[in-house]
Amino acid sequence: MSLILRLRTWVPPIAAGLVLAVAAGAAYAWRNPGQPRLLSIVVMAILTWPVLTIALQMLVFDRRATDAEIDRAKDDVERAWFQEAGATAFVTLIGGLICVQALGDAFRIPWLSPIGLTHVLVLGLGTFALSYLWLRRRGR
Amino acid sequence: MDNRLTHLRSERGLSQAALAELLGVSRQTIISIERGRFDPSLPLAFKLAATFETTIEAIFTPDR
Repeated sequence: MSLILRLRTWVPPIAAGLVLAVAAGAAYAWRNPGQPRLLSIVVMAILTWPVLTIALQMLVFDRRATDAEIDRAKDDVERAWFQEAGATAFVTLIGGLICVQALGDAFRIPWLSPIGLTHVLVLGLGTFALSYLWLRRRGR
Repeated sequence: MDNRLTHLRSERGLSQAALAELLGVSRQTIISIERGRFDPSLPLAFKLAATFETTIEAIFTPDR
């Protein structure tokens, strides 16, 4: 596929992404009336536009290519590592969060308890990344 | 699971990358199968057997 044709496939998701990003900005401005309205819309739109564009392209406009890529990789060892790392991260996340909360309560450590999004992200993504790297190293 | 993949591949003068390309998988997948660290799916095992014009049992031997 030529570069121009490939770029043309991105026009619909870019346009739809912009509309959704402005809508997200408007919703944010409506929920936060104390903030400067126009600035809220612009900043929120700028922050969400790229993510929305890529998500729309992958999940809506070019779904067949995404499905084909997923299908093509179904026999790869990397997929097995990904699934195993995901399962490890899930189990570790549940057990780890219980431990973090219990430790935070027992020793009155304010940054451990109550558990929040940061704990979930650090523990979940950290475990997933380490598990994947370990599996990859073992597989070589 | 033990396998004769390295032997069969070398016999035909195929590199790991070339075999991966033929089967539509990553080179790392071939490396992991050859080292016995990854058991391929049944469709991939059939593809391997077809590529080397043999049977799955002639390539893979289950651990006892």
